[in-house]
Amino acid sequence: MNRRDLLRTTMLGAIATGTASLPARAVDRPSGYDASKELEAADWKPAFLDAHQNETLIAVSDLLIPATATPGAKQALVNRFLDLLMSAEKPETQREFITALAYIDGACMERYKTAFVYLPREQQNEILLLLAYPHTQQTWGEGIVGFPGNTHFDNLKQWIVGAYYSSPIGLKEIGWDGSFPHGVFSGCEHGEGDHPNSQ
Amino acid sequence: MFQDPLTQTYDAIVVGSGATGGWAAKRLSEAGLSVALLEAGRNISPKEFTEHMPAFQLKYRNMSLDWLKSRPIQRQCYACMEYNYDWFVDDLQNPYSTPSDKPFTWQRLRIVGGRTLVWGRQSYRLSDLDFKAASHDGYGMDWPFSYQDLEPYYNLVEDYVGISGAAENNPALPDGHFLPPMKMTCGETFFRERIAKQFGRTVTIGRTAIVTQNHNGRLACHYCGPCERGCSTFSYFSSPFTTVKDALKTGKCTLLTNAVVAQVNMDPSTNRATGVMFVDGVTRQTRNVRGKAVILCAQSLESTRILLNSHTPNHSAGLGNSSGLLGRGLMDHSTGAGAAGELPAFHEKPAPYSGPHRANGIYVIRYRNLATGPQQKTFLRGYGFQGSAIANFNFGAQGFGPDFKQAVKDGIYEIRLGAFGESLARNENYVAIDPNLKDAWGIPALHISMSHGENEKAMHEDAAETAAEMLAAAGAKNIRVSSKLAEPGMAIHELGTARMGADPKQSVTTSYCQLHDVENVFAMDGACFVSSGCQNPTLTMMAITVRACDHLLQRFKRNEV
Repeated sequence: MNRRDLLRTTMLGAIATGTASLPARAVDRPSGYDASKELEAADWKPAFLDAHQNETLIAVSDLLIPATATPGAKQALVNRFLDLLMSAEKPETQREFITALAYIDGACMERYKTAFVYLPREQQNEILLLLAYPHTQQTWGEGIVGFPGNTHFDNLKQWIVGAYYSSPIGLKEIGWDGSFPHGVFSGCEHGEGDHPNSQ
Repeated sequence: MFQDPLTQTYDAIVVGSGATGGWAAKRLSEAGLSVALLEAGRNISPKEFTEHMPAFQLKYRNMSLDWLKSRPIQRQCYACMEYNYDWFVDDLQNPYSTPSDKPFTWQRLRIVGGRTLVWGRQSYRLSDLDFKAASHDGYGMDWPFSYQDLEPYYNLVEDYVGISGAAENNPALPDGHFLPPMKMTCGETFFRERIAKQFGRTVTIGRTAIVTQNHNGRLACHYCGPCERGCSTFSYFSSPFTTVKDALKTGKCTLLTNAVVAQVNMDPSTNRATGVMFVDGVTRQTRNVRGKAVILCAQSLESTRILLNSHTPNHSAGLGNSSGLLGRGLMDHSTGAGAAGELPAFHEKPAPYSGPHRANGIYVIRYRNLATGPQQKTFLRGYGFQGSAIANFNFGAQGFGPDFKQAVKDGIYEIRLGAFGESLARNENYVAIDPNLKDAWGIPALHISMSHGENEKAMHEDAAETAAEMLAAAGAKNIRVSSKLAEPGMAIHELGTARMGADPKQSVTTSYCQLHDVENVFAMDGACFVSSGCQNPTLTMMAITVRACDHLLQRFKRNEV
């Protein structure tokens, strides 16, 4: 299973419980344990990111999944969870993550002579627009190569999306009603050959 | 008064408490035999189930691969996750070796229930196209029984386990005793109709060991989704809460946990087994338990490992190995080929997180090299597909911002098919004892040497091609095709290595799973498979176990054991 599959499985398969928690696994989790509560501590400090990286991550995640009618990544404390997750990750994964954050700053320095977090929101948006879509660039003497900016953006995006849609806020966004999942899978109720495009 | 469970002689010792061991313990103890049920791992409690626990309650939300340092192999299994990883074996304690150019992933559990706790639950019968495959195409050996011989046991097992599914009257996949089928989505119903019309192939709802109505004291499925994390209503079949529970209820069955069986003990003067030796998984002490019959249900490769480790001067190459075939003919269904795409004509929204979620999909019944009709030139046997067509949240949507957030919720209607191909029984695919490797209990470990061959490769080329063709016929867009063979072991359908047969020179066990060489030792799990079919094997393994147990009971009645 690769990372993308894992994130996918987590988000599609992860399931909600009611307020009265079911017994957790006897082995290493006491009943009612909820790790997300630890991220809400008033005196929270990053364990892996430095203050600037943390602020950059908050700003990027806030643009990536903003508050709309529903809360976004910033309110979901995506940065805090990713700080915890990265602190336990392999050095290679940590390096890729930090490099991706730094790349965004580098692009901002090149274009606006200042770091991402100090830019007005319109210019932050402009930078992300440049990075968010796959395209190729012509490099002198080397032919067509992939655009590293998009690779870095996608790396951050994948973590931010995974963190958001596994948070209590993100689960509500995709239809968590606070109880554990259940229902009747009613499926297709069309008659034989009766589908919109079955001709 | 307390009685040491190791001082008595049991009628039968059953090694392993999973799908087949649970059935053996139930069948024999309910018939009045005294049974010792040995499990290498600890016991399981429903309190460990986490199917309703949202990811945010976990420290790493099931997203970090790095905490699985003790399970570098197990984590390749889709079902091994932050929720349940300690049900899976610790790879550092349970080593095995492979040739450097032939990786094999061996995913297993040591806990009461074994892999039935996390299995995929797909349950299909084999047909005489499988049992008599050698007669059909000349490759390998036929099974020593026919579909008709096994049919009553399929019925019996299905009636107890509860298999939901739909009858299709397709000879390649015999119908069973089904509970009501789960429903198809609109995309799947349309796909079924289109594929029947255009190709004459059958797309059916997955036949799954999940009860769709209350059944034998278990509640109907409530469609929460992640069965592999346990089930508070016991709606999917797992042995601890069904067969093992029934066996213990008789008062005739003694469950011994943390009993890591090392070998079968033999009496050279009678050439009969006297019991088994095991290592206490906690104290590391060596213990013995005595029995009139020894039944190995430890999982195909583990049962064969025990037999190989049970060599004596009279059975120098391992117990039951006079044919030289013990360990030979390892099979695991080939996986990795398939196709995926989108069905833009379907606009249903994804089911909300709060459900319902159907832990099942569709199944495309084998259509290559059937009993009648055209035969393929490039490969023998056939494959089936598991898949689905359903709206999912579109977490991979492009871009960012409010549009991205909306696109995730709007979802994407995806269709996918993944092949399971027959794995030919070839003697060059084998397990043997690695003379230089022992597990944490000092028991010699396995060397596993397996690779998929030219037949599997050619079959998967065809599977990828026909999967893409079927998706295209259903109007799928953005079709991605893969014909890459996954590493052996990835199907988690290890079969063979102690195959059954009528001729002791060509096989290890009789058709009732008894070693040809020792009349009171049995290999009643996937080890006895002669060929693999392409169907998920657990249902057939259970039916074979019950058939073998009923035969053994008759021998007990005649005082032949």
